[in-house]
Amino acid sequence: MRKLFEFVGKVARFGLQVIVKTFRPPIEFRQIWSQIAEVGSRSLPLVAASGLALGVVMTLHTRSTLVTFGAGAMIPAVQSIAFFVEIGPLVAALLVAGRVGAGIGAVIANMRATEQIDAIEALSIDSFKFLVVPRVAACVLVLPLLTTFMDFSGLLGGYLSEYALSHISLRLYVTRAFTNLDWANFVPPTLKTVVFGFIIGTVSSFFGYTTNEGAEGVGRAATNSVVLSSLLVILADIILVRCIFLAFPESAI
Amino acid sequence: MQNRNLTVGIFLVAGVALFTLSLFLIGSQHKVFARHFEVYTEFANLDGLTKGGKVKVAGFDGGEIVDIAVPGSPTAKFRLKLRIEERLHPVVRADSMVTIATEGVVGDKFLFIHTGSAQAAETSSGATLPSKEPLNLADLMEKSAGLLNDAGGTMKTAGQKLNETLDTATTTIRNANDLIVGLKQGKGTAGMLLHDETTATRIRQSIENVHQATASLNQTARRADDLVSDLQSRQLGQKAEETLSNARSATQNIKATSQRIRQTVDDATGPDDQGVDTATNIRQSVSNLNQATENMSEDMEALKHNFFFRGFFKHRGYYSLSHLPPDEYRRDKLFSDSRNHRDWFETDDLFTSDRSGLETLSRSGGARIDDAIDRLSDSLGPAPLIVEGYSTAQNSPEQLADSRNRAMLVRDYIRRRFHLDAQDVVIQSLGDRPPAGVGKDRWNGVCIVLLHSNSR
Repeated sequence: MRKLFEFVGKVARFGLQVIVKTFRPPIEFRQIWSQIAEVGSRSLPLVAASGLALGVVMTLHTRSTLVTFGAGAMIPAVQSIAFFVEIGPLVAALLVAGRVGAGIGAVIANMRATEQIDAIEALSIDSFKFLVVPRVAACVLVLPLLTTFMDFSGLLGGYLSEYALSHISLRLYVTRAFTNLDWANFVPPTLKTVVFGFIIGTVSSFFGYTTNEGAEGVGRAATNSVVLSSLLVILADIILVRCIFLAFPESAI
Repeated sequence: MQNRNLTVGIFLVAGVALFTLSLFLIGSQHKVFARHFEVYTEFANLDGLTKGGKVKVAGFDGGEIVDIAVPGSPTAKFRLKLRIEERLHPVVRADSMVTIATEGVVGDKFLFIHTGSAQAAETSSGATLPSKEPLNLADLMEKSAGLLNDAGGTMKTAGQKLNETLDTATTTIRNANDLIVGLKQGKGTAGMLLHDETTATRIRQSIENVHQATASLNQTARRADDLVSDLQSRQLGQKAEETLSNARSATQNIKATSQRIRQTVDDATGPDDQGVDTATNIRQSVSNLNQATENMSEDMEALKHNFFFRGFFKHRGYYSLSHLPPDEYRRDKLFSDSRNHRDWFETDDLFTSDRSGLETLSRSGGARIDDAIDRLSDSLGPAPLIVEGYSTAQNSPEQLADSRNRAMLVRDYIRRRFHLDAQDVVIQSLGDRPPAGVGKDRWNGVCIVLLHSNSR
């Protein structure tokens, strides 16, 4: 239990360092830009494909039930609300945690194992600010965009599925999809992925930056990064959803 | 490096573009960028409406609920602030009714604004539209339950009647079945007819007898024809015709005689030369005769009182007491003659009174009268018996009534008992004072008087 609290304290201290050093000049724009490309652009195909597949599956599952109740016209609305409110942010965060978290943890752990971080430090460069802050910042900046891609990919998949079954027009589908959608259903859930990105970047960087077990620690850091960041994303989602309901009570059903 | 920059640029632009697109799509659905006007409405029961809920104007999605003010007291209502597109302003009138509706079976609640009447003015911004409370599901269920109960009662009644009908039908079928079984078994007349060979033989025999009877009848008819032919051959028909002709002639004579008699009667009963019929003449003759009789009666009454004829009438005894006043009766020497035979009877000796005070002749009173008449039997002659009635009642009308009643009771008894005519027994009611010289100043009862032979 003691180790658990020590670990929580270390992670919290690490996260606090990230926040403090993010806004302390000089800001490493080049590194941030580079990490946006790594985290965002290269994750987009995975996110888009997953969203498309999930949209199709989601429509297939909900359609029969809604048609049974004579609410076939609500299929686009159900699809949009499901993706914009929960599925999009959460699945995008989990996918990024799986792909990027492991990458961050493995890269930084490998740099630690090969003493590259020590070399950076020898050059009087703040390795933390140079390696960790850009990765966390990239995750924070990119994840809302990836979530938006995920939402629209899910809608597209739902439309394709619905079009195959009922030949609904795209205009009618979009109209119905956004009829019951409020800003409270889109902006807060999308922006909560900022927290998810911070968790993913911080946890993954922590495991990589603090490892000292050589090559073996690289693999463990990658695994731990994925597991813990995914778990924390889900736990954080619970808290954030509750916070959103408090801030926007009309969005709570 | 350049490729990476391009990729990142595309990723960022596309991501931001999608994010912005989402904002606009959602905003366009909520008509965020259109012009609006705001109105209010009030509901006691929101039925699940929330802030941000849709507002449809005549079915067109034209606004949303922007605020809900909670009532301050139980009697107050929720006040809803509605934001509606300005282009729908012309159809939202001051009398537009606001109701709460549901989208489909599982859909969300929304406000429905009905278009107002053309006569009403456009509603002004900030006005309060009239509302209609949503139907309470509990009330609906209660009504449905009542309807189901009624239907259940009707079904039960119908079921009972159907059962009764089925029971009746079953009984009828059972009876019919018993009847058929009985027929099959030869029970009853019909069954016997169906199964009894003896009866069938008898019927067959009866039919043969009918055939034979018909043949005999035919033969008899033939003989009757022969008989008629024989009569015709002997000219009996002609003779009968002559007899009938004579009878017809006699009837005509009787008819003519009857007509003559009727003519005679008509002549006798017909109107005379002055046009007055016989019945009228007879009626007038009888009327004349009555008048002549009345005149004759008056003349005879005058004769009775005439100086020359009064003695004759006194001697004849045809003096009518009905025309003689009591005072004159008391002063008249004929009735105050002390030689007249008088039998005095007290009221208690002759009469009994019932509860109402009506007096009737008692049995002992009748016996006393019998004794008195018996003593006079040898003296009775052409002169009438006079029954004097007396009463000592307090006033004169009662005296007159009682004395007359007592005299009449005794008179009627004497007539009935001794079979005397009306003129043989007469009455005189004298109040309470008898005639002078009879030895009594006052009397209460009856006195039977037989005039002295010299006075008659």
